[in-house]
Amino acid sequence: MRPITYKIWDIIRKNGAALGVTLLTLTLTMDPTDAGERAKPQRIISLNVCTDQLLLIMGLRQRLVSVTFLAADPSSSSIPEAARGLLLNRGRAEEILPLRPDLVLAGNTAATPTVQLLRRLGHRVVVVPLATTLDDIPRNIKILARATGEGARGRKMIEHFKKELEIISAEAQLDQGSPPPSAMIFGPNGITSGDHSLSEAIITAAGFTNGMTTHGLKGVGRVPLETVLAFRPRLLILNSLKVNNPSLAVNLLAHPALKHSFSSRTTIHVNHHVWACGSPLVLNAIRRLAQIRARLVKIRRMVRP
Amino acid sequence: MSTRPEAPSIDARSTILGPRVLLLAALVLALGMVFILSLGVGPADISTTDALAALAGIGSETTQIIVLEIRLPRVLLGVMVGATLGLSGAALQGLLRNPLAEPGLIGVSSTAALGAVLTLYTGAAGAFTLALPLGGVAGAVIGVVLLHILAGRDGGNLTLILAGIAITSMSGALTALVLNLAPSPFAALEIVFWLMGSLADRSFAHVWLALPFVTSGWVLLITLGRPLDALTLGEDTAQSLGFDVRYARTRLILGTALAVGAATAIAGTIGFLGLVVPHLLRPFVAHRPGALLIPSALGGAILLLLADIAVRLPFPGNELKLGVLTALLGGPCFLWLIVAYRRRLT
Amino acid sequence: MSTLAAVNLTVALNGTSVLHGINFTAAACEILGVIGPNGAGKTTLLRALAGLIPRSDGKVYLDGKNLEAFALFERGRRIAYLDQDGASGWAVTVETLVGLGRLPHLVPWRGPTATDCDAVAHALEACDIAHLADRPVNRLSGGERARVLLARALAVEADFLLADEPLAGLDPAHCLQVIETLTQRVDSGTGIVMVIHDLTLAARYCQRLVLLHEGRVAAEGCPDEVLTPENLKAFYGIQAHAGQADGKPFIVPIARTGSAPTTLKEGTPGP
Repeated sequence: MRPITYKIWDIIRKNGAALGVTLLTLTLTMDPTDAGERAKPQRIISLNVCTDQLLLIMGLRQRLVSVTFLAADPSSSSIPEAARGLLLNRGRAEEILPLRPDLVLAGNTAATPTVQLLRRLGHRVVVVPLATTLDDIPRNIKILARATGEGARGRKMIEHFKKELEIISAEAQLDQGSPPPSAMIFGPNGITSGDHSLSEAIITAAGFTNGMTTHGLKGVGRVPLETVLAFRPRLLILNSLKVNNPSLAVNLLAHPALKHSFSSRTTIHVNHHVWACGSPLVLNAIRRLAQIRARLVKIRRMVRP
Repeated sequence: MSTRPEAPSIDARSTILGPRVLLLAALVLALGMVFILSLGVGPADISTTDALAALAGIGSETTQIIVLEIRLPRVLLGVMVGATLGLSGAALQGLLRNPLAEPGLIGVSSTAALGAVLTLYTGAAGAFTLALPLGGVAGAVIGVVLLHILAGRDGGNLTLILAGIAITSMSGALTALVLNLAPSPFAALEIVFWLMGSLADRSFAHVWLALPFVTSGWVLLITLGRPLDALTLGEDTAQSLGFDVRYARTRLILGTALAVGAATAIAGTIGFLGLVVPHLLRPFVAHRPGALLIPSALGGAILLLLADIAVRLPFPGNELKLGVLTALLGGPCFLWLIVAYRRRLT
Repeated sequence: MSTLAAVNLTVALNGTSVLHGINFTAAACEILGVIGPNGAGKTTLLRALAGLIPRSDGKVYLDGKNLEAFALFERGRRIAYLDQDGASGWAVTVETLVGLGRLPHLVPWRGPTATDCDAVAHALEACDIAHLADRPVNRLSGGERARVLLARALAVEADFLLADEPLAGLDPAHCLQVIETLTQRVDSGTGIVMVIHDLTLAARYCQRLVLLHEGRVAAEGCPDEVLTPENLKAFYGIQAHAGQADGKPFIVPIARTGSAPTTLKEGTPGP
């Protein structure tokens, strides 16, 4: 009697071509990159304004069913027009379930009741954590790309982002000789950002030091007006909203003491929605800040050569 | 006239004027001290001496800006608001012959806050700066008129307090509603300011805004000294002594509305001060309502400045609201007054 | 001599007519008693005379001049009013309370003068409360409080004192004391118009009486003319025993007559 191995070899010889085609197909379908493309989610719902904007920037509007209401609000979103025509949700499970999504994107934490409920009901929920450093931006793009099956697009975006960031950083490093000037953020109600925050990452990438980090603040917090004045940062970054709705919190930014301590050249107004979400739009903010920094350093050089 | 029997000479002037001057001097002195002390409190490391030097123009530019633009207006507003609350509390108690009357309890502060909120969050105050204190004044006028309608001319103590509760609840609810409907996302959270009051981060703009209204209110209220004394024995007797009671009431309404309205528009609702200060000082003026007015103004200013120092001490970054402190102190005082006057209450 | 006259005085309160066409004159140096059954309008009459309530018709003349023409403080100096249920809102001292009577005389922003202090002292003395000068008013007995309020009214040193039931709630000794004080004042030149219920005291101490009934003057004149048995039966509905003791008259109510008091037609003098 012939051994089993001989018998298998016979089968292979006789069905070689068919086997070859089958194996090739299997290999191709098992490619991780292509697996997602075959099951790309077509009904995507986003529950977080930062993921809203990232998805729209990635060009996935066609496959979006709903974004948050903040995405269409000019004071919270950098690209409100892009959200026009989409269903606007307020992050509640009741609104999401009837829309029958095949992918739900939530921000920051999986511990919210909404996320837990959706998962319990069998929906696919991917959590995109808050970006607190510049490295978190490519990480978030990657998470989104993998979840939506747009791996190639994601890689391209990350490449472009890293390249731009390198250029800006290189320019900022040119003035190695002088110590970096200090900057401080001051927003409505005195809200500011310290260590381990995206705002701080933007400030340091542009070549400043964050005054609040020096002051000892971690994350986001409140600072009294007197402290800002006493610290005397080189640049005051006022975090004002695009739409100027009156409130006591916003009126604080117009306090005469700020006007008298900082001239128009040492104050800039920024739109916080760019600074709050980790997206490639952050590059514009860094670029703008870097230009101001260059000008401030030049002035300083002129004053004391 | 026939000859009178020889009357024993009672030099009334010495029994009225002497202690009164002493009281006023003591209060003015205390106010000066608390004023100076208050200038040295704050998150930035500026002591009282540094602050005084900054007032004189000595010191770094930063220190001067902080003291002149942040601390000084804050202390001035504290004096204005505190004096207003003390004075109007004394005047209200005198007119209503009721030791439990004060602008917070009878609802005038709450309606003033509603008026101010309506002008601020709709943008009217941005378009026309005087709209903010005017809104407060209008709200206060409505509050006093409502009180008059509810409690009537001869309203007893109980009716007065009940009317005050009704007005305060209604205007509090409406204020919350306006804030929730306001376009700004911060508005809904700012209800804490309007219900509990604060002097944080006020500027000289606020001082100038409130000053004309507050001072005109003071002028109207201070002229009520003699009418209030006459009213000790009731409206008929006061009228028979030659006082126009209706005119006095009008001056009280207008004066309270102007002063309390503008003060609330700038600093939010601060309660109990108008209740506690006249009560504390009454024994020092021998219970005479007319003589209580100016001392109550000074006492109110002192107490409010002290409270403002206290809210900044433990948490310099995250201040307590003033109304919290005044309620902590004034609440027990209110309860004590109710117990003491229980017999007179019904 | 000063006169205070009501001419055709008509007052309506809350739509109801309370006083109809009252005519009489009070003069300084006499006590005019206003008597009548409850609800006749005695308090309203006094308040109208003092100028405290508006009239629907008629006028009040002080020394021949319309009361309205006087400035408020002038009125306060010339006419003093003593309320029926006086209560002090604040626990001031007796001396301070009596001192309130000088308010019409005070110059704005100036303290009391020596004249004011003398008037207060005199009033305290007259009401026998000088020893209570520093006592807070909430620590007085009923009689003491009544005397303090009277002293306040006396301190005004007005030409006329309108007193609404100054003897209410006082024991006999204090009644006599108050009325003697008032008589002394009359001797000094004040005119007193007083609402009184005690008929004996009215007969003894009032020089003239005005009997009010349902808002009209039912009788007017000296006590003998007014306090007749017919009037007492007609307007009070009582039967009384009148007499004299030590040369002074007294009237003691005995029984109710049972018949309803007659309604007076306008212009008709009493039976």
